[in-house]
Amino acid sequence: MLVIRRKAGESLLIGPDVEVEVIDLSHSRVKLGIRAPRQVLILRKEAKLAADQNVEAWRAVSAEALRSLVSQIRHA
Amino acid sequence: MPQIETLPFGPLSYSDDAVLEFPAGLPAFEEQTRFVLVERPDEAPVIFLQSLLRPDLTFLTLPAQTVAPDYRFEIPTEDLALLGFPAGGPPPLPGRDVLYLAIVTTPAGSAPTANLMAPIVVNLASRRAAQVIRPDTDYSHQHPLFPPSQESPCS
Repeated sequence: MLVIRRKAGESLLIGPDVEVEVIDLSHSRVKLGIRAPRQVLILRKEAKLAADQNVEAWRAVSAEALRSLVSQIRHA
Repeated sequence: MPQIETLPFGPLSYSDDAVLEFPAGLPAFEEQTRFVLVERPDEAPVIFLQSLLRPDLTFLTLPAQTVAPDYRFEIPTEDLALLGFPAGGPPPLPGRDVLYLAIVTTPAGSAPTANLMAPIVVNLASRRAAQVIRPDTDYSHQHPLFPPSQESPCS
């Protein structure tokens, strides 16, 4: 992983069209501003994790999976 | 009692007060804004979260406290507003004001997990709900339901 040190007000460029600026810093948080073309999808990673997990959970649902889950809970 | 025809489980009966409004939908299912909670005695403590708009969209959930008895979750301010809790009010009490449900994943061939990082949060008074994501909790989106250390050695 590339590690870059930046101060508030400084920015970095990713590829030809994406700029990430450090707007503000506090004790435990950083506020970022992102300039990018409209078609570039920007997601908080945890939102992507939650979305992917929901799809995986939904795809795995079946009568058999439910039976097995209930049985495992009862015997845990 | 109204019924919803579901793909995996056939008809599920529900009471009108089990209908939940999800103003923001769920991540990956943003257009799904109406769900119902269904509990059946044979499958307790599992609670079905069934879309009223899509018969094939069913989730299996467990009360978060069933998965982790000491479960704690702080709802961010913006989500309190989305759920219809008054701004500046006291934090909602689990069990009385708010219900936390963890979506369970049951992958074929591996152990089931529960999403404790992003629980379904239900305002029990207004019946508004949202899946609230807290990356800064100690809980995982793939929390093992049955940690190996708790399995009996002879199973």
